[in-house]
Amino acid sequence: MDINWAQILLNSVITGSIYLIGAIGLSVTYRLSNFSNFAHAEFITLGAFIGYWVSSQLGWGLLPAFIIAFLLTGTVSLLCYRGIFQPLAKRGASTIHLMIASIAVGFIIRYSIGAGWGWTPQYFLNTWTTYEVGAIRITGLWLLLILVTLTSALTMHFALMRTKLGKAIRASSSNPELAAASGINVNRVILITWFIGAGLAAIAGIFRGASTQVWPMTGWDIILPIFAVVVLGGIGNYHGAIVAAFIIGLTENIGVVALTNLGLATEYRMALAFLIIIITLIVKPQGLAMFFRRA
Amino acid sequence: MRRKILLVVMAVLLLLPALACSSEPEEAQVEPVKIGVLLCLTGDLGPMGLKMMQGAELAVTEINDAGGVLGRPVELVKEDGATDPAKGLDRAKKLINVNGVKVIVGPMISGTALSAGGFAKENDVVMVTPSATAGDISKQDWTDYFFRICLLDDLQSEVLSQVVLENGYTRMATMVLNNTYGVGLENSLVKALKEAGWQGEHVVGVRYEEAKKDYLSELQQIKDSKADVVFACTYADDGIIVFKQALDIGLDDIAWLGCDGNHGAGLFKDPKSAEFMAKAIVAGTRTAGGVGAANDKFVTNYTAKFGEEPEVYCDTVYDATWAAAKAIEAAGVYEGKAIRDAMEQLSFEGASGPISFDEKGDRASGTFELWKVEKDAQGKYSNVRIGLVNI
Repeated sequence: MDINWAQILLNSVITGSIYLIGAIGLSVTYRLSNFSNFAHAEFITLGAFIGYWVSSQLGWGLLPAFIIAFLLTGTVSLLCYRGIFQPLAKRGASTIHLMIASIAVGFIIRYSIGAGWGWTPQYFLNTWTTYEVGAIRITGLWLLLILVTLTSALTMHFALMRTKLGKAIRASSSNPELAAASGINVNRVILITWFIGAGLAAIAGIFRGASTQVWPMTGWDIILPIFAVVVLGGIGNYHGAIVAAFIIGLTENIGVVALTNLGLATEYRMALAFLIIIITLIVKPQGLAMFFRRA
Repeated sequence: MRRKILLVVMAVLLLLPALACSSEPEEAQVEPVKIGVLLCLTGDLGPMGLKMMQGAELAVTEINDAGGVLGRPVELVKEDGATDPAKGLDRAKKLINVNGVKVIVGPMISGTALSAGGFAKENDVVMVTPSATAGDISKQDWTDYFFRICLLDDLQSEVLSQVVLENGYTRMATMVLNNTYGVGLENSLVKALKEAGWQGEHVVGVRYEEAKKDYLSELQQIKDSKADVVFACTYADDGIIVFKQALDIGLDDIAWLGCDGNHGAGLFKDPKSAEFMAKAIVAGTRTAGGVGAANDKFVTNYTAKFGEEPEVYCDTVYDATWAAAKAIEAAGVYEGKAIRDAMEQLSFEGASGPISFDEKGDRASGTFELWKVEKDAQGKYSNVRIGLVNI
């Protein structure tokens, strides 16, 4: 069978892009606040629903959907941090306490969404033009996804490398005490990353929702590969996450080809991503971060 | 004296319950005859199961209006199988052990039939399924307690194989759910084609995970295989994603075949899925349902009661409920073995056609419908019957 590798590669980029946008917030907040926020899955779901609500139920189109979902989800994330995680951390909660609390917050958001919109899957009403370039087919949605990913990747890169805020984020994540001692308002930095991280998660949710379906488990459906990206990329390492996202995307998509040709069900493709996590954790627990030490 | 009064009072108090009992029989609540219903009201098949439950409710209303069974009213004990064989077994156990039902209308999916069928037989409980169509079920050793109103996947794939042969397709791809239903239908279709002397090739068989919800790379495999026909065996919610993504990667220029799992308005919730189905599906199959007075009456009553038309398997669940009631009545007692013996002898005209069972408890014969998806002038999509096939 002739395999259309160009298309497989493109599909991997698409899969990887959603994982990357979803992973940035998780990775950075993990590093800064020192616990893995499981409610991040629900930020993705919430973004997908707000996007669906604005674009399909209110009929305002996609651009407002992205903006409103980014802002609202970012705000919810800020409130969660200020209202729950920060007070807990101040009272001496350990990583485990915070993690369990984040699972609880996630459940509350998930079931609130379920109560509001229902558990039946919903579908974005937008339709896309499909373009054919040589052997490759690409839809408007995917073009937009790649564009958004590139833009946010570049913006994040320059923001982290060149701006004062970016330097503050990097300083706070590598050594919070030293950063605070040098006059950086670490608390403000943490709040900003929680806001932006959740906003990006919301964008990932809209893309995932528009290309598949929207339901209260939308974020949970993809949170495991997103964790894989965070671990493989090295926790808190932005450049590592970029490379990791595409490795995971590629593994999943090539996995489908391999599994189908072996006559196996494609449900094992998730297992391939986890194989990578396990190997990473055993061989190089710091993930790809070792290649991006300066970042 | 005081003690005597006290004794009298106590005696009266003791007698009261007995007096109450003796005066009650005339207006005592007649205990209803329970029929368990095990359908998937949540999960991927939730939308279909909710509509099917209405079919069972309609049947019970009619049965009770006609005087119930064994002179008692019939009561449905409903449980949700959640489109999951493990949960389905759990719910079946609850119906049997806690509610004490002797006959269950269900299960809805083949996976739950396989997980719960043995348990039902061990407890002398009869199951009448409206929709568990996998061929494998006939090979089990508990089929003497398991009856099927629906027509089998093997029969459905014979109809599908006729479509493939008539249209002269030579490169067939399959995109099926990785479960008993999907893989069963894929296997029996390939087998039916070989037996019919088909010269073509089964170029690729994709078995996908319904929970993954993203099938681009799976569909790409089909595109790369240069197939001229694709058989898609999906449920509703995953089917929507399969079809919309198939449109995205341009698989609408080859012929697609559908089946009972992707029949129904649930697939049109996403405009792209609907567009794809109207463009690409040359034919789908499903149980035709009865053609005749019994079916007309069912459709009229269902539509009047629920304000919507019955969809796939609403008629078989209605018939299954009636079959359960008729078997209990014929048995004369509410007892599993007797109900089973009565069920084997059952023969009546149901909404889905004439109903009787073969030695495996499978529906003895039936009619299949071929369907397509069409868009009307208002832009509304619907399933349209394009032919009937007797098997």
